[in-house]
Amino acid sequence: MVSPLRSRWWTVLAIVGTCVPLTVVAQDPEVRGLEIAAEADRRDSGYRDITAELTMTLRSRNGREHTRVMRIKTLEVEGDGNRTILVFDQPRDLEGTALLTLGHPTGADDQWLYLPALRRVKRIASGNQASSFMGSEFAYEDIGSQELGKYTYRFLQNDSVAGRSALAVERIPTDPKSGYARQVVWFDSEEYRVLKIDYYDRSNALLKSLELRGYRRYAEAYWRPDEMRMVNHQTGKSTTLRWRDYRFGVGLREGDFDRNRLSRVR
Amino acid sequence: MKHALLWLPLLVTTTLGRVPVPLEAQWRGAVVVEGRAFSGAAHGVGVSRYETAVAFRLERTVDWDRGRQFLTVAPFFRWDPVDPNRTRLDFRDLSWQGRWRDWELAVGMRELFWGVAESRHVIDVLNQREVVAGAEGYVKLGQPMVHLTWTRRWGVVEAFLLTGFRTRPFAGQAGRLWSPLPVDADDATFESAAETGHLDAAVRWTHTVGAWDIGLAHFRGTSREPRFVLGGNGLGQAVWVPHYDLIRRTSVDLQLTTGRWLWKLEGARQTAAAGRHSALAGGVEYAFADYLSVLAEYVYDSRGDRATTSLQDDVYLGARLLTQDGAISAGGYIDRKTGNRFLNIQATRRLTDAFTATLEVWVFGGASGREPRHAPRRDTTLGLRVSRFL
Repeated sequence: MVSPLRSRWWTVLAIVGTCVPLTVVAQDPEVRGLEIAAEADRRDSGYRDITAELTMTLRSRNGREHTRVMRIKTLEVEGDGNRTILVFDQPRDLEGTALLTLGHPTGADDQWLYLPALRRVKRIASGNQASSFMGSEFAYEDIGSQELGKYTYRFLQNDSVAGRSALAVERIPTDPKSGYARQVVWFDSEEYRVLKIDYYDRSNALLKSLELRGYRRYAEAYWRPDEMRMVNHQTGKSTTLRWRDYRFGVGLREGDFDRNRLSRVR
Repeated sequence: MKHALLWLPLLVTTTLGRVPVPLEAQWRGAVVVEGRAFSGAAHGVGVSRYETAVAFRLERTVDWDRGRQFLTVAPFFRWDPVDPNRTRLDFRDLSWQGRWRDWELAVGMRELFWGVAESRHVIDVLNQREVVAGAEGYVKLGQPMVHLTWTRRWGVVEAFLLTGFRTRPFAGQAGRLWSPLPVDADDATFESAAETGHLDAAVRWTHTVGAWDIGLAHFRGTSREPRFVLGGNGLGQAVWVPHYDLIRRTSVDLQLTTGRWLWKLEGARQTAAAGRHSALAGGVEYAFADYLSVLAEYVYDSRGDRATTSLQDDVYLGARLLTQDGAISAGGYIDRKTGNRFLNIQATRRLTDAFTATLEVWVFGGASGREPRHAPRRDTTLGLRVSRFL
């Protein structure tokens, strides 16, 4: 047990400890950038599992829309990437179609697709991280887990996004197979939530912008946006993801992410 | 032993009445209206060049016991206003399932799929099939079974007890595609004295190791695929009489998924009193993206000209394109020896959230005389299917 006196000492030390490096580090944008990203990561980890409902609206340059409705289940796995199942509700002809992804921190993910009309589970070529997620403006690497080691960071400036004070951080993908030369991420300076991301293509031209709105706090810890809108500046297309019915810590297990059980996911 | 088929639906239906409510469940399914036109030389008297049907597919799963137990009911009903033999009520699924830790038990009528290849499903032996001129070329019939699954780190082991054999229906145009002679399905003969009551069994092990998906299976019982024996019907006309052998069939399926390349192979070795044969299908698929892939496969059957399929030494080439509004797939078989070709193109378009339309073309090219027993007699089949999803 820690005595009250000692614990107070620790508090004092901790306060001094965090203040000193901050002032020193402010001069070093790389360290400051990593620090911000690490803080955002720390605040968003440990949720274990999530279920949610997702409506994806794809909008073409001339305003034509396609809508997909799906349910998503994700489980964090110690020492490996996330387990994810997506089940389609709409369009109706795809209802019950399920996509299982076993993520890996390095190397390609493993993916299986369940086709209810044929009662068939197929191992499929795992989407290249730079390729589009189901024809949307989101690439697999945009929606996959944003582990710290996937980028190097550099703090740019104090900024504001939609009237909110924000920290702009540039991050450069460490994986040469990434579709981006760099990204600029705006974290809000209070809660370290991502407010906006600009994506620059391999020739360093602005490709896409992602805006996240309607943040809500779940399980008294985790902030999640109701809406994520990705606009492709080069094609004029956009994709909006609307999230609802977020549930954290529902008690999913690895056995729920078994390819033989894809037919009965609900 | 037709009653073997009956008790399972009865059991499931009575259990369904006792399921505690409230249950999170809803019906899903589709009403499908389909029409087909067959061109080319007409064979047989009174054989129509057209085929129409309305089909209903419904499915409902209810679960309780915190998701550990399920009942699935999936009726299929097809009504052909012209050919009463094609009108049929079936259950793709009518089963109870329970799962406890690593174990899973299912009892009832079920439809299951085994295999990895696209061109021919060589190892998929549990369910009887009805040949139809459309989609996959067949639809499956529900199979009554007791199915036990055991999931371990080293793979999944499944044991099947198949209670009640179902004979293959040969109604409609598709049932006649392969031969000018009619098939007398009602007078089918069996090697087993128990006929359709013979108890069949199967075991299967599947596992994933990194990029590899591996499957091994063994089946023992009545062959789902009949041989045909020349016979006569009551009117003294020559007909093909289906004969169902007792077989032992061992199969393997492998898939290696490396980046955009998918290498697939499935093969089976079958032993019957009449002899042994083997069959395989395998090849490679390349995915340019998740919406576009091409594939090349080879299909082999050691029975050669005596095979019950024309796919005994054929090369298959195919492509698949998914769009935001639908899908287009095309595939063609080329017989290595005779050069006979068989091409299938399917295009599905989503009209609204609830409606899709599918246009389908089957083209046979080459001389049917080169494969007299198996070649389709119709040169071209054109089909249109409109589905309303519920």
